[in-house]
Formats: sequence, structure tokens, C-alpha cells
Amino acid sequence: MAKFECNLKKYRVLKDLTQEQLAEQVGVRRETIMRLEKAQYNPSLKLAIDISRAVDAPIEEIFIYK
Amino acid sequence: MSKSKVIKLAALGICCLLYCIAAGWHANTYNNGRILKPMDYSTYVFNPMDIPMIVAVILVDAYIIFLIASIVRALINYRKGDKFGYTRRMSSMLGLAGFLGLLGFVGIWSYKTYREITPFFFFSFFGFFGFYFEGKLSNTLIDERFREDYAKAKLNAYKTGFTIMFIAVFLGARVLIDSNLEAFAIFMVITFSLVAALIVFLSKYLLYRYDHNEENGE
Repeated sequence: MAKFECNLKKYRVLKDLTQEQLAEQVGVRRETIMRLEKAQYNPSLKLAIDISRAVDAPIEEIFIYK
Repeated sequence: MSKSKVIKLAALGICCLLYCIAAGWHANTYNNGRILKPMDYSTYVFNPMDIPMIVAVILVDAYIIFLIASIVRALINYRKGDKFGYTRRMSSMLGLAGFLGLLGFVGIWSYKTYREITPFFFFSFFGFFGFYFEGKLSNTLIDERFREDYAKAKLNAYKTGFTIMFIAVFLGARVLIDSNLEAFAIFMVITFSLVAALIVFLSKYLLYRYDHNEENGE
């Protein structure tokens, strides 16, 4: 089974965004961002693209499947 | 619905109830329990002594219609305040409506008195206990994770319900149908009502639990 890692927190902090602000930008709840940062939730392609645009980082660097 | 309106509705209900008790006492004491006790209405002949009980029946029917109309109107007004893309606003206190499921026990009396088993259906109202958990997720943004949890909760609730229903049908057909058809009918009405309640309750409870557990894990 593929191992899922998430570097969202790193890129979010670099972009100086709070979880709340990012959640609002991509149209999800703050709890969903928390789950993503803990790699406990596997996002849809649409959400992944939205997050990637919001934090200005490539998808494959934010969400890593090994 | 405003607090004063709720109080007025409750007061009206209490008045109706008191009148019904008085009419019932009158029918029992002075009218041989006519209308109160089971009787053959195809041969019914009007008797002026029946008037208090007839008024009681009309009063109760009118009150129930008025109550339902008031609740529906209040709900429509309340729903107008809901935001698109958010769960409906609801108080956890509505979970108390689950106690209406106790009305199912009226079926024991109605079966003994009229051989009527429909009131057993009221056991399905136990499902309203789920409103307690729905209230806790009231006015929550419906994002894709919420939708996933919702689908997962529904699926698990239906799986559980249908498994129990399958076992109940098998047991009922195996044990009861040969010996006593009426007992089988009662068993099935009670089982299906309780399974319906379980599905409604579980779908809301599991959704809350999936959402809540995730939050705890943060």
C-alpha cells in the first residue's frame, strides 16, 4: 500500500498563511487542513490543485506517495 | 417558533388533554363507556350523551392539525435562515424527540383491545435520538471530507440495518410463521420499525463520530 506524506504545513508556513485562511481560500473546513497536514486525509485532485495554487508549490512536493 | 407561542401551544394541549380526561370520565360514568370502548360504528345511533366524547375527538383532531401546521410553518421560516453549502441548523435538544419511540408500547394496549398493530410502528421514532448528533454538527461547512464521512456513515448504517433485517426475516420465517401468523406480523412490524430507527440514528451518530474522532486526533 502506498505511503502518503504531506508537506502542506511547510509550504503553508512559508506562504505565511494560517490554517483558517488556507481553508477559506480552498473552500474546506480548518479541520480538513489539519487532517491533511497530519497526512490523515487523502484529498481529491481538485482540492490538491486548489491547495497547490494557494501555497504556490507543485502538487508532487506537497503530497508525496511512496 | 417564539417561546410565548410554544407556551400557548403547550397550554392548548394541556386544555385538550384535561377536556379529554373529563369527557372520558363522563362517558365511563354516565354513558357505559360509549365511543371510549371499542364499539361497532356501522350500527351507531346518535345519543345526546355522546356529545362530550364527540367534542373531545373533534378537539383532539383539530389540535393535532393545528400543532402540525404550526410546526411546519416554524420549520419553513427557520430553514429560510440556512446557508447554502452548510448543514442545516438544528438544536441538539431535538434529540429528545427520540423518546416519542416509547409510543410504540401503545401497540401492546391497542393489540389487546382492538387487535390493531399499527402503533408498533412508532418504535421507529427512536431514530430521532440521532438529531442530538445532527445538532452537534449543525451549520457546518459541507466540504469534500464531510461528504466522504457522510457517505461512509450512511453506508455503514444501511449495512448494519440490512444485516439485522436479514437475520430477523430469517428467524421470523423459521420460528414464528408456522406457529402464529399474528405474532410473525407483530415481530416484523417491530423489527422493521426498530431497524428504520437504527439506520436513521446510526447514520447521524457515525457521521458525528467520524468527524469528532478526526478532530480529537489533531
